Amino acid sequence: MKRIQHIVLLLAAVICFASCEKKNTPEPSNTNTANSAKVTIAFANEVDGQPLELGQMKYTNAAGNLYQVNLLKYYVSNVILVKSDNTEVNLGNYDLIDASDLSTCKVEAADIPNGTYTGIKFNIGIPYDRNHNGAQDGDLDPALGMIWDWNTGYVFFKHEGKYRNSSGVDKNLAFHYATDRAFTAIEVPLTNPLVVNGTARTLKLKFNLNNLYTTPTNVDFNVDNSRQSSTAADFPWLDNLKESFSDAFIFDKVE
Amino acid sequence: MKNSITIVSMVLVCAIAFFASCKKNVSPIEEKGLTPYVLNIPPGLPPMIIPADNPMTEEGVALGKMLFYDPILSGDNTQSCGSCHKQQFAFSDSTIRFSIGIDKLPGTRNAMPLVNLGYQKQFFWDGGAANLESQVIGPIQNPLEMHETLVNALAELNAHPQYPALFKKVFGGDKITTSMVMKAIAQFERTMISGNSKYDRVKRGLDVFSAQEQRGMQLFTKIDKGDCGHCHVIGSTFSDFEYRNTGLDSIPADSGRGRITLNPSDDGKFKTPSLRNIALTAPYMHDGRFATLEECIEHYNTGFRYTANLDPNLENSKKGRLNPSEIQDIIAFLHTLTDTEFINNPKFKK
Repeated sequence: MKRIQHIVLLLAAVICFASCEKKNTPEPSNTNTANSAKVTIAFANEVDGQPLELGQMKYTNAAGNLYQVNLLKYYVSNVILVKSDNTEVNLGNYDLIDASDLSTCKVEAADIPNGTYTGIKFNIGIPYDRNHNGAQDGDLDPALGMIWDWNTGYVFFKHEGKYRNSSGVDKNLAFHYATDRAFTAIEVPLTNPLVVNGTARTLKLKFNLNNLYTTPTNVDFNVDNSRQSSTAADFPWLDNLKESFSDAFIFDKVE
Repeated sequence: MKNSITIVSMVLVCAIAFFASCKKNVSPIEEKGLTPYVLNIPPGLPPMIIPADNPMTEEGVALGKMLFYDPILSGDNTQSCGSCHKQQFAFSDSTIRFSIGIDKLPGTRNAMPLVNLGYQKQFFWDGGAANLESQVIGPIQNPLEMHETLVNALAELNAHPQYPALFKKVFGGDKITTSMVMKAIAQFERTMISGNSKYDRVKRGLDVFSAQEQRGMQLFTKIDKGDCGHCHVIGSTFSDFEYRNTGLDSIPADSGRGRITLNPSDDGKFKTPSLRNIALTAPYMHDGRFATLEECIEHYNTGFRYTANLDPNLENSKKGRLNPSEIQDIIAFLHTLTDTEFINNPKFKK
């Protein structure tokens, strides 16, 4: 019987220490092994093949309006890399791409398992469970100016600037794409697969702003130049834009 | 038998040791040297649900109070939250309809009282702020109110002689961020609990209603009379915090809840306010159109318009169901919801 008592004591002691130890010992750090590598997804903002330059009245949309971009910001969230066997790696990210700062125009993932990736999926916008709370940090910090303070929710996409109207006068242009209705899923096939084999890779995507103003109908900035997503009258515009986003992102290359 | 008792007791001892040994890890607040804030919830009010990502601490509440009364959060450092939310008026703004912001411009809605906010799910008259933390940045940035940018406010806080250390103590991190400001102020606001009015004392058997107050309470709840309790649910919070069109205007000048849901059937709907301390918070309605409680009750008695989305409870109420003395009875009852301890509580004082 003594023996049993000793065993119980010993067991209990082990449980006591083991149970606490878990919390005190840091998780083993995820060092880059040969089984994975850092992957950067870079977003190049363009207008019909020209790299986007802010503040330049030099772009023409499909409707023939001359325009300039002063601000271009959008959220890319939940990037998913799709392997050739259709398994997925979800980055669970929330990244604000700000065209005025190239260092923000990318999504980085430290440890992407080795493999051949043939597709990428992501969302423009912030998913519902994160969209209605302002007390968040990082790229969701309200100080970044992408959240409504009167109706808690993020603006998913902003394009602000000017257009030259039919009388030759430069007028303000502001498109704010927001509300849960605007949450958009994008899928881009990778023409050349992203092969991860233990060394860092960069997957380059292009975003063509003009694509937003072409489908299903060409947007004439003389008619449509201010949309805030803040009235039901903006719903058709939101729905059109949602459709237009799907082919605005295209694969460029893997480096 | 003796052996099995010994084993059982040993297991018990070990179980206790197990929990005791881990206790240190249970509260990350205490690990950081912070003191958990224990809410003093009066009997009659339900337990308050505190968001998991913003546990309350003595230090966090104190920091929130400091921010609440500090004009540093306004554009020209002249107004604080407390400028328009004054304790003697249950944290509403005196008797003016629209508070005046730093640019001397009036707002568009009546400043709401700050009472028992921890029981509400959404904030502002239209419920546009999804939680108490998110509400904080509204008045700070509104051009008609404190008219400050978050970037400026954070720069000033980070350069302040005291704030950086206080924030670091409560939230960690090397820089003050927006979310920390939101969380600290929300922590303070959750402590602003009112539940010791005459009504509460009567419920606890410590006081008695006058005959008029008693009649008023009956009229308040009676379906074919006041029927106030349909929305201002009697007891605890005195509101269900739902949104309703109460027939104020045939064509609402302020779309109210409709501005948030973008659903036209919500136009002209506003959040049912709590009636606690209502005698202190005149004027009434989202736009402060009624100066007195008489005017307010008269609206529900005879004044309401048959708008398309009028609340069904009101639509089915007979006009003129209350006579003048009954209205006075209800007002007498409403006065029993005034909590003088709340408006004098030094914990909330500047």
